[in-house]
Amino acid sequence: MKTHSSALGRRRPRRLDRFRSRQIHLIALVVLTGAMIAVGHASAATNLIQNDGMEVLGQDGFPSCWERSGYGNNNYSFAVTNQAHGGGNAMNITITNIVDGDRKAMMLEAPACAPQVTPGKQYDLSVWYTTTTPNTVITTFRHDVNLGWQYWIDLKQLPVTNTFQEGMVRTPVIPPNTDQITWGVTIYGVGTLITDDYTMTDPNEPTPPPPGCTAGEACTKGAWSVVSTPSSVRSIHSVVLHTGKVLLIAGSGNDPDAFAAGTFVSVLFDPVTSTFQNLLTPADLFCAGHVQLPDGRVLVMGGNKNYPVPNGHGYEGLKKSYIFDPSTNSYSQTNDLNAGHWYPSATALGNSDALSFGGLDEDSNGTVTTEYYSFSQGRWLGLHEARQTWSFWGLYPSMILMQDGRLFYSGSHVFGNGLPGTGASIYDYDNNTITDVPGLQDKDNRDQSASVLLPPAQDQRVLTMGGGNVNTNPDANRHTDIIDLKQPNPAYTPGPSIPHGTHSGGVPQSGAQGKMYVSAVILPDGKVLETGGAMHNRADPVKEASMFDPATNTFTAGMAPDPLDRGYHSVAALLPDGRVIAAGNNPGDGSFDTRISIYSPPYMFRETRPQISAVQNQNWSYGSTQQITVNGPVTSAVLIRPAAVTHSSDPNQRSLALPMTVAGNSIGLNVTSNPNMAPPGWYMLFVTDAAGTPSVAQWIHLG
Amino acid sequence: MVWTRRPKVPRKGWGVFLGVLVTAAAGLLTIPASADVATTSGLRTAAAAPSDRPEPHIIKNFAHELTGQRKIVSRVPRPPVRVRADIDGCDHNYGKASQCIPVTLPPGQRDYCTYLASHGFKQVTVRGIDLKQLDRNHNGIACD
Repeated sequence: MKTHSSALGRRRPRRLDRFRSRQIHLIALVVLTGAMIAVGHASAATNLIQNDGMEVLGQDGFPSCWERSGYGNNNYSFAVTNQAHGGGNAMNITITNIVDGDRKAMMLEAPACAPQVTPGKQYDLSVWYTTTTPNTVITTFRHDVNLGWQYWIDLKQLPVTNTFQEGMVRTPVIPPNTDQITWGVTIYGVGTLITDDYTMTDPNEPTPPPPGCTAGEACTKGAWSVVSTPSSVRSIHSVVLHTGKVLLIAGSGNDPDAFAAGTFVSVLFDPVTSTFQNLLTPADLFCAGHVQLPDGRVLVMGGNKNYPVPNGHGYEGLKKSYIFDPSTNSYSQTNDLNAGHWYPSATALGNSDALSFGGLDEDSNGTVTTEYYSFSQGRWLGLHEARQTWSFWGLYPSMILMQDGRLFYSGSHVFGNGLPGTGASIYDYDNNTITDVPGLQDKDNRDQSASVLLPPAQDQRVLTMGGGNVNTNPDANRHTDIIDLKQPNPAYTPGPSIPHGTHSGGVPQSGAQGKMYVSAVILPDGKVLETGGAMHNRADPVKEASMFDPATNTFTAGMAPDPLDRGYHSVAALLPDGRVIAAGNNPGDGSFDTRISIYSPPYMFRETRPQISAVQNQNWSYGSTQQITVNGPVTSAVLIRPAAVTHSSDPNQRSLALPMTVAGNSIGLNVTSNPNMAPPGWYMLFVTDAAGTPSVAQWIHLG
Repeated sequence: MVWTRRPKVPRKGWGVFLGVLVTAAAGLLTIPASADVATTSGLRTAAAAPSDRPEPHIIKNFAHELTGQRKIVSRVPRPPVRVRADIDGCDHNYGKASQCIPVTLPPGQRDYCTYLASHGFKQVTVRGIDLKQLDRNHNGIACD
């Protein structure tokens, strides 16, 4: 029997054998009444799959309760084969030629065939298979009671084998509003895949009581502390390094006196010891862009060539670029950019390279130059070595990498109006096309909004929150917009309003009042912390923090607000211990708050947290399964990319779900095959318990 | 519409053949890629993954029926775009460059001097032209 204690057992559940041996008419009866019967199957031994061995064929010769699925330009065949693992039948899918797309046999999307599931639970999936191609993966769909059937997530790659092997993986927690799932094995390369004897069981793991908490209000709201020693630099740019330290970059720090004196600074903050280490800083990196390279070094591009002069030019952008190396704590210069960039954004790509867009050039004009950094060549490519759109993307344009390598311009930007058109678009770099996507509300008032690829990255949904307009200076808004980039023709749809806080020393917000300069931080429990911000151009900070739950698209209002104002030039970032660092505030009067505050979310106050006791291998490749050991039951594992954030903008922030293959405290973590889901680099590995309490992170190198 | 669920009749041969035709036709309509222009889609070859490693499972029909307006991408270099010197929303005629006297007052605020006084500004210098007429006594300091 497949039970919790023998979850990895290779023996087929006896009950299934019995099931297989029954007569066809009985199976048909089960199929016909499957919905009712599946509900009744609650024991750990119950296989929730109908016609699990494909022994029952329909009139078309195809297994009952199964369907051919897939798409794209490929030559393929589905066939019932007698090369079975058990019984007389198995499913053979062969692809002989493929341009794109995939094929898979899936459980029929019918009430009697698709396994019924309970939100909040997890299920163990198992399939016996042979495959001649490694391009095979267990794929799931879910039935949303409101939205219908939809793709859910790829769970586990199946390695090549010519003898039957068992592929096993546990689903993520079933999302709310999900009443059924279907799944199968996808083949997306040339080869032959044979599958048989599918099982889906409820591991029936006892849900441990939520860990206790005696911290009072902090148990539900979390709590902030302020680091006793202020930062020695103005923390305009913040990068969490795989050493666990945080690089805070000021450059001249929006201080023209420092600029005139050539005083450019940055510092390493150690969040464990709350100590600072000054760094030799080679240029005015104020207003630069930054992105983590695959090896953990930080690529910094552009910066401030000059401050504006009255009645003259505005800010001018640097053409310089530097790389900060956490192993030596030093910057080295790389080749110059093709143009100056003041306020460029940078996006890490799945192929290890990086693209940078937007900003002001050396003459304070809007640059139309796309900059492409080749990681393998260690240099910025020349102007004509990269695709150019010759269009101005604005300042700090939020360009988020999609699963197919295209870039989603979320409409989140810095200063003034959005771009012409709908204010959001998909940029296909390879084909050099820009296509507007609709639905972003109030697109000219999304200046210094925050966009985040919602966790998990596999969901391909982006949330954009708040924003204002420094030129027209309205009250910043409460808009949130959510887009599902899995849809054939994605459009933003309005999300819940940002909860109200207080401003100007305690005045309650009302009506449409929201915030710009807002920070969005992905937490390891799958929530997004929304914190900080202000109402107007460098003025009127808002005291409010909330928690956004991507599973329900709702905010939980009333998290503890940062005790310090966090308006213009503020940042927030997740730390490897699960806390959140917040820094910076630079109001219109030119002052700067160099104090650092640290938020401990509610989970930090629970009496027990899961622990990752061992990681077999720190270097992970795409499409692999990686073994870890934990100290108790866990329900999820994620890789979170460390922040490189400024001006509410970190287009690279993401959390990759790692579907688990569970054998007690020994867990196999199944890594996506797709580098666009999580570009190469260092990541924080967290596991969480059933209550969403995360472990402390272990650092993992992916790529 | 669930993307994998489109019923497809196997079209061995013809499907691929038509696909090639479509691809070829599409190729004629786009600028041929220069061999030395970087691409992001070179993953499958550039990664040089061992043959036992899976290729990326990229789902090609997510966001592939876009009906939004296609923006015109110039094929020839274009000059940078002029932007206002006060793109940062600050009137650089006033204060130090680190300060920001907003070009527009927020809703409910009508008087710059009141606004500045209530937002921590002290001794705001007039560095350029006093278009807002904040230096009534012409001593180079606004609102004193």
